[in-house]
Amino acid sequence: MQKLSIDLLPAEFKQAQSKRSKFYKIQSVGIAIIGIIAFLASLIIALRILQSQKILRLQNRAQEAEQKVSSLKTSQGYLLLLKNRLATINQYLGTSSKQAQMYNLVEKLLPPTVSISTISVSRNGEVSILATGNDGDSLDLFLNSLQSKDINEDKIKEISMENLSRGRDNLYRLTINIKPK
Amino acid sequence: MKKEEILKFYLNYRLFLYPVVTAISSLILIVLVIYPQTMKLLSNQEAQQQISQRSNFLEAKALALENYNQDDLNSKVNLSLTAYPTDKDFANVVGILQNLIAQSGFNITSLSFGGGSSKDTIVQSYNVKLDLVGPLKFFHILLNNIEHSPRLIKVSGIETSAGRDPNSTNVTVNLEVLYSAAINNLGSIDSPLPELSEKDQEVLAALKSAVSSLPQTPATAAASPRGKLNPFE
Repeated sequence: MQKLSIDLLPAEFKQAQSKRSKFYKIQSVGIAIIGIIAFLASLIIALRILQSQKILRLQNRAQEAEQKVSSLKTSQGYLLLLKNRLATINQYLGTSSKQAQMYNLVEKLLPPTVSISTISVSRNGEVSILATGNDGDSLDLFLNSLQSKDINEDKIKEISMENLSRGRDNLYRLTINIKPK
Repeated sequence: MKKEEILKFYLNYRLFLYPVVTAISSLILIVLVIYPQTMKLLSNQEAQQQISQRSNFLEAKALALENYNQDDLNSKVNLSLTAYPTDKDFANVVGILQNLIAQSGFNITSLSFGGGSSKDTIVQSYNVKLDLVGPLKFFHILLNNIEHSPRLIKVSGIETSAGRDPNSTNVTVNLEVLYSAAINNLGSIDSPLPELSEKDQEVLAALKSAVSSLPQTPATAAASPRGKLNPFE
């Protein structure tokens, strides 16, 4: 059996009803949007308050630590002074100067039959030697040792012979200048 | 009358007015509250991290400073200042040199001090000229003793002239005695704390042993009355 449905409502009423339902929809969407935005705003403000409190706590902690460090400033000063001194001490303590190294090298290479009358080591490490010896071979050995890179520990740059003479006492006298590397 | 007109206007246009009012109020909330507060939140996040890092750093620094034994630190500083003082220390150097020269079997014939020089911007020095007499065979020991002494002294020149007696060779040694003015900057609260490395500890140990190997001399002479107690007697 078929049902009969007759729309007897006036067209103006239907239009007003559809407008109303549309408005309710817009109203609910608007309320939802404002609600969400208000919730977001309050959430952010709450987070800001929490953050401010945390920052304040951290600042207090830092201030306490700062006071502690201030009270120990003498120790810090001593430590910096010590570190500063040790850096230079470490650089120089127990290290031989060029002058001492050159003197020790000459002394090490000197044959037993050759003796040194005078030796001077200048500020820049240059060595002047007046050596005497009974025989030319020893002096030759001495010169060769000074010139050999393997024996002179690669510390000598240049050797110049200033004078070589033989006296009436049969002693050879040799004057040499040594330039360090 | 006016109220009725407004109500009528609203009822007629509420479909457009409501979304516009919602949008404007949302925009006001976003512009005046959400955006500035979010920006502040983000910038404060960085500030919070910085404060947190500073606080942790200062706490660690305070703890490290507390762990240093003040007496031990004082003795180490004194030791380093003995080796490398802040000013010219003529008396101390004379004492040290006298000991080292005597240990090496030499005698001092003259000792003179010369002008200072600046090796670089930090290290300064003054010169000492020593005229000595002694056995040349021990001269290398003297050189070694001087350069390994607990006071920073460098040999800057050597002159020897052998006499007839090998035990009385005349030797002239020029020395550079190093010193340096104290540092002015003793660090701020936020400056990092230097740590004593193993190398530093080794240097301190070497200094300590070098100082202890020197004979101890009294720093000040004992005060004793001189002359007659009553000069009119």
